[in-house]
Amino acid sequence: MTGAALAILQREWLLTRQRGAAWMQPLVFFAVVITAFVLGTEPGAPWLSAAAPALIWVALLLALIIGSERAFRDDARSGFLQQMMRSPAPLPLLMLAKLAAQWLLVAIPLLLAAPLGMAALDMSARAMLSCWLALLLGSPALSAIAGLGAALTASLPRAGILLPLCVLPLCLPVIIFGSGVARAADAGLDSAGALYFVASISLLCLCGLPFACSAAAKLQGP
Amino acid sequence: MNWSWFHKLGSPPYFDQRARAWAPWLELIALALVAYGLVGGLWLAPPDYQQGEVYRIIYVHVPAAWLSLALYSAMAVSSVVVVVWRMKLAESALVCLAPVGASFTALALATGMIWGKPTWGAYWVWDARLTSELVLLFLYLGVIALNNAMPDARRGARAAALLAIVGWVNVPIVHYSVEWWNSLHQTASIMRLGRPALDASMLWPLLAMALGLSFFSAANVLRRMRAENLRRNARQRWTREQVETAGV
Repeated sequence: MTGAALAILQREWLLTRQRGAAWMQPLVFFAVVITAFVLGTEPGAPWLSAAAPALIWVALLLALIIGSERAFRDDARSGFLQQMMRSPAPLPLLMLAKLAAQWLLVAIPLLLAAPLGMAALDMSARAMLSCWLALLLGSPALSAIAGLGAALTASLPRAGILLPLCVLPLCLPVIIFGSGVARAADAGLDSAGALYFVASISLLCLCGLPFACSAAAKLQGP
Repeated sequence: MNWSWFHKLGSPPYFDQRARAWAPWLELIALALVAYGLVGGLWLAPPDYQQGEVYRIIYVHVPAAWLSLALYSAMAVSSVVVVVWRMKLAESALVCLAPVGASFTALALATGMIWGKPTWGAYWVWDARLTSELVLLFLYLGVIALNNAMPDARRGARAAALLAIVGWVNVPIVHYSVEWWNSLHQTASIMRLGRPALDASMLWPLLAMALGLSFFSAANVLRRMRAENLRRNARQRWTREQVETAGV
């Protein structure tokens, strides 16, 4: 059972390596969104650092959603999804492995790049640290919700605008509490409460969404 | 009492017949209740001692807000039925509840904004109740969009059902937002422990409006379900007979 899950992680890693530089696309998207926002404001505006946590969260969320759009479509087309359903290992466990692979391969590079974006937005060191911790704890939830959207739209030729439309409303609680963490830290307040809340949303998503994803995978036919 | 009509509703021709028979009655009850609610609320009830006449918008706003949550819950219940038992009728119910619920959510938001300007001094404030109600509207729209995007009606309904179930977590957040967070929106004055904080002259029209609009929603959803049912069975013989004899 664990072997099957590990095999899926390994497969995703190999596929990512085969696709060459495609793993960089969400990173470039993240950078361009932040640059576009900064260019749209007056340079050196004092409120830029105040808006920074929300901006980082939104850029990360959009990059994650767009980056995981293909997570299940290629599998549905190649027949791998059908193979997973036929496997004796429980489907939700395999889906958890898929979601974990998405987080490792799409979210982790974004998390590593995020401090650069925060520095570009003039965030204070303390706010940067707590914002990054919140991103680390909240990104599994975002990644899993984006994965559910990808699984639901896997049978369509392309998801396009539909994927963010379905997924974004579900992500809003994470954004609300996640960007609250950095704001509280910047104001010198205790941000632990909001941080724990973000972590608990992630845990809840990791417990429930693999089951929703396997129900969505079964939609694609036997 | 004989309950066999209930399981027979799963059969498309029987459902069509029942829906056609029940919808006008539900609409009649709705009309009577809404008429009483409007006359009682807009003319007979006294003005509020604090807000004056402005408060009268609650006769639309409060029922619309209740229904936005109630219809989402009904949609989530039919979604569970869709996912677990794959009942075709529940698929129609889910698909037809979404636009009605979305309309009431939009109505609750719009009337709240109209009331907010003279009372709070702003059309919109980003506080918990308003924001979570807005998220509810987005959830409804996502369910509608996902269902529409799928070329196959049954697959679309099942995908929308999963999304609706996951989105259900928002319903308790909307309901309790005014208690959990320090919100500008007032707390519940009717659904609370003890007596409602509303005088009977104001309360009865409000309850009549809520019940009347619930009957209206039921009738509207029933008519939409009937149309969906006919569309899904467009190639069946009973559908053709129905269209030819009854003129739909």
